[in-house]
Amino acid sequence: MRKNILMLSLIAGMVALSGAGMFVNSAKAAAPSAESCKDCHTDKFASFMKSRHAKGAITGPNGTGACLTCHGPSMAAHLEKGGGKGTGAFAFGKKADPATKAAQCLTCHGDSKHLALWESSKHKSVGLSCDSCHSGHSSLAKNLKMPQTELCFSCHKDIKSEAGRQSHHPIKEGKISCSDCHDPHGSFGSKSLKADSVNDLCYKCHAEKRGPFLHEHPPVAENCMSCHIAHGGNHNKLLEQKAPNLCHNCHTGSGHFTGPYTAANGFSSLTTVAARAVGRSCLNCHAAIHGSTTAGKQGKYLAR
Amino acid sequence: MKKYNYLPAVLLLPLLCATGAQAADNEVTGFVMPSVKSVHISGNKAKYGEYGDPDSNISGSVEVKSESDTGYVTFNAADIAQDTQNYKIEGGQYGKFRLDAFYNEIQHNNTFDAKTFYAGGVGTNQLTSPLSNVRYGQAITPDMVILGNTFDYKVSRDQYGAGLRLDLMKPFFANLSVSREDRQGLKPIGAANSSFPAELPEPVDYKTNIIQAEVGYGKNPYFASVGYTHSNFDNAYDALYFTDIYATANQTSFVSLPPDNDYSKFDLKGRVKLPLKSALALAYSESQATSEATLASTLNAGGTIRTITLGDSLFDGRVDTTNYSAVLTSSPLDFLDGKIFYKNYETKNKSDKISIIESGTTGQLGNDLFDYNKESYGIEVGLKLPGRVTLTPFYTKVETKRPFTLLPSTAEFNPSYDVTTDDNIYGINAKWKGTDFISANIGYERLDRDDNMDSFRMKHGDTDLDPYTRESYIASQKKNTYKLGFDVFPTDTLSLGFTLKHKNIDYDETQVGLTGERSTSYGASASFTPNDTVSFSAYANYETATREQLVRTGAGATTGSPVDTDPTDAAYNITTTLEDKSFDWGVGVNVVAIPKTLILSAQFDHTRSDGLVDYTYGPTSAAVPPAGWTNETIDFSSWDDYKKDALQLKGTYSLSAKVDLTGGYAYEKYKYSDGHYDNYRNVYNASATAGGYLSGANANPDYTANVVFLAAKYKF
Repeated sequence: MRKNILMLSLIAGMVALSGAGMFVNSAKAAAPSAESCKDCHTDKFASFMKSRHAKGAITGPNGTGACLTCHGPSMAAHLEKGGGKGTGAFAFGKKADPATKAAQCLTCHGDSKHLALWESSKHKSVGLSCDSCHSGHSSLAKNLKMPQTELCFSCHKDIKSEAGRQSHHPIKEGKISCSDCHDPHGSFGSKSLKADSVNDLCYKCHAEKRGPFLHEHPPVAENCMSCHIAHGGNHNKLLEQKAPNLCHNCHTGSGHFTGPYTAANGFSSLTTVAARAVGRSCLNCHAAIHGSTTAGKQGKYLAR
Repeated sequence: MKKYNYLPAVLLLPLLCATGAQAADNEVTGFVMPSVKSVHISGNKAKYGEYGDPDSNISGSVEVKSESDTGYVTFNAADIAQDTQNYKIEGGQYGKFRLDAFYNEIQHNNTFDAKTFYAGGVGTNQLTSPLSNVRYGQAITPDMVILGNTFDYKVSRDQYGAGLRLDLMKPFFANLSVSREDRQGLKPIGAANSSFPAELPEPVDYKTNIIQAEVGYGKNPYFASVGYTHSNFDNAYDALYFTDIYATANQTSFVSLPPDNDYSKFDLKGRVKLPLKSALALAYSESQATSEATLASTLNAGGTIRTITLGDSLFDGRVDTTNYSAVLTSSPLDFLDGKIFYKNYETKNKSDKISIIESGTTGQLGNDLFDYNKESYGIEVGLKLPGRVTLTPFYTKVETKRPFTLLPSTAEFNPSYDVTTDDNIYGINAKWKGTDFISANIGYERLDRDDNMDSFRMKHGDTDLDPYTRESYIASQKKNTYKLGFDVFPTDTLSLGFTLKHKNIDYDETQVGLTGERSTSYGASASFTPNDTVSFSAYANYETATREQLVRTGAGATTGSPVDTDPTDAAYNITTTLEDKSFDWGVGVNVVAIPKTLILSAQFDHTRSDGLVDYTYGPTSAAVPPAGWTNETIDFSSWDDYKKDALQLKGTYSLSAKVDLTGGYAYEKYKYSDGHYDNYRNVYNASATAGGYLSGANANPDYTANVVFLAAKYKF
């Protein structure tokens, strides 16, 4: 039944979307009014005309203010002086104050729900402004300067390195984007996460880990990052360490009193191969490491 | 491998037609790009195509944009007919509304051609085997494994949904989205019976529905919104049942699988801008997660059927979560930015607490309800100083309370204990914008964590292990983090970047467990664009991480020795030192060979890791390496070691203003070595009374791949 409702919703959405195309015809805006800048700023004019800012229905850049909307307010002086740097037009250059640049954008976008927490965002506090990531002339989605993953990696090079390791979320494969988990414009959570906690975020895609289980594994229920890393690493399943050492961080001095499971117990050993020193180690038996609904001792030990 | 699932494309065709219908009056742009790929792989195909489609294929991409000055419709399709195909259509009127619908597939390949002796039921939750007549006490041999069949460990996620955003009544707005994910496939799961583990193919047949709605108001100085989320997770299987070859004939065992769950969340957000360039943001949310599971009343434990007496055979799980946050920011002066925040996140586990008595064991095995409360607050101040220097000192206090039991005791009904951690985090970051050609930043952060385990006792029988044993994630620690980075732009055509990060953690109250961690990472990057026709880029990262552990061993669980209350008793101690080294580097070049006609590019990337585990038994005779081994030979010299080389050569030739041809060659080589997987065997320790069976998950991932690809892009 739920499936049917969802499918109907999807189809209804699509039908409505078809209708959206009809609205597209409703009006043709007046011709762009940035022509006065075209002769000197040919390339900028061309990129602007391909951008969404150039659409007539958008209040601002293509309205009466034209280029002045973002590059004003002293455009007249700029024209009188025959153009050139430092003649009045506002440029989004490196030297410009981030807050001043952001203010230009917030004139129109300040009411956006996406920017409601910009004042408290990490990106603002480290001195970034809108033009660090966006360009008013971009024709890419969200007016980004370059595709999102590439853009984020251009500053977060350590994350790029992690995401390239053998066990990783499919970020470089394009199946997960940074903004699936993080809000670059700020959030109430740490690390600009789009959730109240790490686990709340992870459960969005890994709903099977949510439980609640009969037998919980407390560090798991508290924070997925107790064992996992987010972007990528050297150990399978994005584990911070490889089992059994990961497990020994907590489960030591108790449990299996048979040894540390060394090379003496691996496949290469000619003596005794131990289940805990081959394959997935502790998880060869403790399969329900995220929680179990098996009553009894094996369930309590997360082994069933 | 290929699913050739054209259904999504068919569903979206009407929309594409609708877009086409607008072509006469709107600017219609886009492209059609058919592509062909020839793949030759020697080795592990699943690892090569872990998140993709590893086979040779014919595919393509399409983009159609129909835009006017008032609105737009766009359609994108990529990886058509591949395991990773995705389609998206979006349309709306600027400033009024937006609609979108999508279909997306995510493939996760783990291991192909895994092996099992369960000839029947692979892909379901009822595994049967002709070996069911093999009784406990007889050997499991490699020959028996050959009797079984092969299968692939892989899971696919098929996602689809639609969304609506309304801005018609600005400053009011509304969003609604529905989505569904069907996840299917097989993944490995372990099942142990009397210490003989078998790795089984767990069926994955999940369905997750999510509905999200939000309405709000946004006009400076105010912003407010109300949101609701509902997520429903359905697992087709509550348990995996299998004939237990280690038990007496025809006995069935089971492993419980994730239960269905239901999650709903209600949230409020608000922000108001205040005088003195200040803003106050507030958030409140309540959520509830529920699950339901029918508990089994018997359990096969090593061939012995045990009766489980339950206080309630139906487990109702429920966890309520409340979160509230406040952030006050202010920039009252040009040189001052300030932020004060508070956050309280609390979970209440209201699940059934069920008494459980298992025959053959002593006492009760009731479930423990874990919940926690994390309260944090702090301040951050940004000071802009002369010389283009910004200093940002910060302080955060985090207190986490956890009323739960850390280690279950089989001999008693576990009471709950409070374990509280107090974190004091402080530090300072400095940023220097320097000159036009150089900028730098430096930072330091200190974490002082105190655990409060006064009422906590980790027990073995009646003997306390506390206070010298700690679980690392809640253990007292002193952590220092140092960061340094600078960017240099010697010329307009050259940019260089360097980073250094060092971290060390001392678990100062832990004597048995994880006692210390330290890591250092270095990064460098460069790009050089001498002219409009050629550009070079390069990067390198190196990281080394070391962890120190002290673990205890002993002759047997019944001896008191391993729980000797003397933490310095070397007779039962083993030190473990883990070293992980990671290194990656790459170079790339991009050449405009013929302006506006031919672009050539080459990129080479190398990634590797080198791990080591060094074990050292205590010097006395109670804990010594097994016969024939010494402290020098018991180390694992390979610990998830791997090397990966990837080369891509690509050329794009513009045949005309409308047609581009792209062709190229890609090479990848992956080599892996690990103490747990080298010399891998599906069956080990096969004897008259014992044996372990692995199905091949994650084994032998080495591969070499050669790929030739060609695509033609027609733009309109």
